[in-house]
Amino acid sequence: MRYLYSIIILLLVSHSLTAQQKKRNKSANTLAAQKKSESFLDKQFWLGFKAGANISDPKVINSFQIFEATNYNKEPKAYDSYNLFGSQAAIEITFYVKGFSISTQPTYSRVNFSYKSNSAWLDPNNANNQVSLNYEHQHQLEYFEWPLFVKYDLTRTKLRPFVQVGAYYGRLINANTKLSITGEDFASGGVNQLKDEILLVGSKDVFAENVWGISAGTGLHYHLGNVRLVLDVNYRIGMSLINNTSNRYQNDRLSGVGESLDDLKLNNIIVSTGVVFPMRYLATSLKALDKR
Amino acid sequence: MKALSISLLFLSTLLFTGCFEEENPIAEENSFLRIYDNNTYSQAFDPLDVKQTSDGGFLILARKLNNTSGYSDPYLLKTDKTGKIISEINEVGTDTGHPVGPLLFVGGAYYFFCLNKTDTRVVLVKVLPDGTVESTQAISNNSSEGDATRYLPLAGGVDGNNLLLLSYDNFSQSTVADVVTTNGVVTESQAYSIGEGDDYIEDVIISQFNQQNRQYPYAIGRLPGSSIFFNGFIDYTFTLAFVNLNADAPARTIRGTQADGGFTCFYPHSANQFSSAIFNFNQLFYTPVSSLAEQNIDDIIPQTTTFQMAEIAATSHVSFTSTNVDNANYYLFASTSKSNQVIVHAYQANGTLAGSKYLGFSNPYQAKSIINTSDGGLAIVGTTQVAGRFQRICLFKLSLQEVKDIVL
Repeated sequence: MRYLYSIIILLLVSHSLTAQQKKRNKSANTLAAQKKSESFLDKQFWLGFKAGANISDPKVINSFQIFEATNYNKEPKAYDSYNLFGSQAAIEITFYVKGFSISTQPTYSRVNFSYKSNSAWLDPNNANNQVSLNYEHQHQLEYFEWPLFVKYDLTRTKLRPFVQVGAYYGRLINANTKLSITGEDFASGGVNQLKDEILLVGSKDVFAENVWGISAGTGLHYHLGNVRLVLDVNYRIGMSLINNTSNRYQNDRLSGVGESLDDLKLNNIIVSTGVVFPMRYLATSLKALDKR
Repeated sequence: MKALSISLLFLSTLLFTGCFEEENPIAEENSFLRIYDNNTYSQAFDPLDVKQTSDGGFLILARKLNNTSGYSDPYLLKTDKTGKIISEINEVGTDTGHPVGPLLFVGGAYYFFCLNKTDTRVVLVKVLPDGTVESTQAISNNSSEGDATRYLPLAGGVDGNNLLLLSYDNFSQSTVADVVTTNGVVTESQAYSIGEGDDYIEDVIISQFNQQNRQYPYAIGRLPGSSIFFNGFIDYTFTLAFVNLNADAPARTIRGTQADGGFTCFYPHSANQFSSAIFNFNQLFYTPVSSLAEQNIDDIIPQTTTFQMAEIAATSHVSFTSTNVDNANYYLFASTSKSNQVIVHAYQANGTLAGSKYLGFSNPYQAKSIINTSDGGLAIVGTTQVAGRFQRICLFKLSLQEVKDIVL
């Protein structure tokens, strides 16, 4: 699958470069002033900023547990879907040609996901001898991401809806894991509410350094003066594991309390809004020529 | 446009070079931590030894403790190569108790000694590599040795195709060393008095059969190509003795300090060279390499290559193994820090420290046994206190690379 996407991307590169070369040839033709003017109307660089929120859905590929239950069935971790918001900020660089755009958007992204697990110990001979513990694991990952999109504007109106597809590469910058343990101890003469201090651990070593995925979304451009306001929504599917399979048990502070990551892929819904500025072909009125 | 093209090429290159994480079952075999949890409130487990079986999995022998006085129960756990449970055995034979380590591998099967809870006679248990118990039998008489009834096992060992048994005879107040066949027949035997009328030492010996009390580091084995040795009480003292079972008295002894000092761990590399750990009151020492020729009889501690390990409690269990990394031998001690972490110390063959590694955090961890694994890594079995109170068996598996990270 990875190679299929790679081939598609290479074809896009090839097509893009070929098209650019043809345009250059046309521009060199002194008899094509009229066409050149038209090409000005059809091409534009946009540069701007975007920011927004994201929400994640972890998908378990393989489950791994440090705790091996000898006389009971250990329940798998209960993952929370789309429960914790993250955020992202990006620089958008877009090249527009006749309704199509190629856009790269270097992004700082912070994503969160969580899951829960629990354990209980009972005494068959004494009902008061009972302890239950609830573990809540919350992970926060920070990535530098390099997405690449192909966009298509559905209309040429002032308010332009568009659709986009693409892929992204993410480089892990930092990761933190917060583990909180609560529970009840019935063996101390009453119901003793247990609330351990929260364990906050740097966990970059147990996550993958590099991730990638594919993305599809839709959005709106709104022309306001010389600039475009952008609102887009993307759904991303993680194609590689976000955990480091070799370092699953290497973080002593986490593994010591029985915490190990499953093989996980992360899907996200990302909402961004921003503003982009035209970088070429400004008329004397300081209006972008393709904005009519 | 150039920036976009570079982006495309960069992304394509990343995808082709495959620098992304994929499912990796081998990584799970190379390195893991498992905690074997039982949800019974009053149950506790104390592992004695671990062995890697021919299928790459692990066989763990443990004592099962139940918050009462009296004998512990034998407990066996068989795992696959990733440490996941294949089977467990909670009852070994009928009315057996107080297993002693290590697991003894002879003729394709594993053996260990325990006792019959009713009459305290020593029972030999045969375990197949798949973790099933094939037989349990009391140590039997041998006409040439007279009455070979044995009581109160202390430790086991391997002697070629036979087994070695160290036990205590409370009728004669003697520590008894035996060569035993895998059928449970005693073929050679000798008893060594703990000292006439020494009720204090006997109390120390007997008290450890109460599951809640300290387990002394008894051991028995054979020096390569030489005599049998054992670590036990004789002559009022915890002593490392080198014996010929045909002679009444040990050929040589290295004496500790009554019940307060002696060898915690003794590992012979040859008939003369050994590695050891020594406890003396509230101190613990490592001797990565030494020779018996240099060893005084009555002063076991002063050695030029002996190091006081201040971070390790004197009563900590110490386990030893040697390994070869990049054609160099290293000696590895596994023990427990005073802060309850597992510590692996690695020494070069000349006794110089090569490195160390700490395992376990947040919850208390204690090391019980360290072994080499077939992939060049290590496995360490120990205990942890789940939820701060439930003693459970844990198994650390370290990859070859992790071993290299320690020693290189």
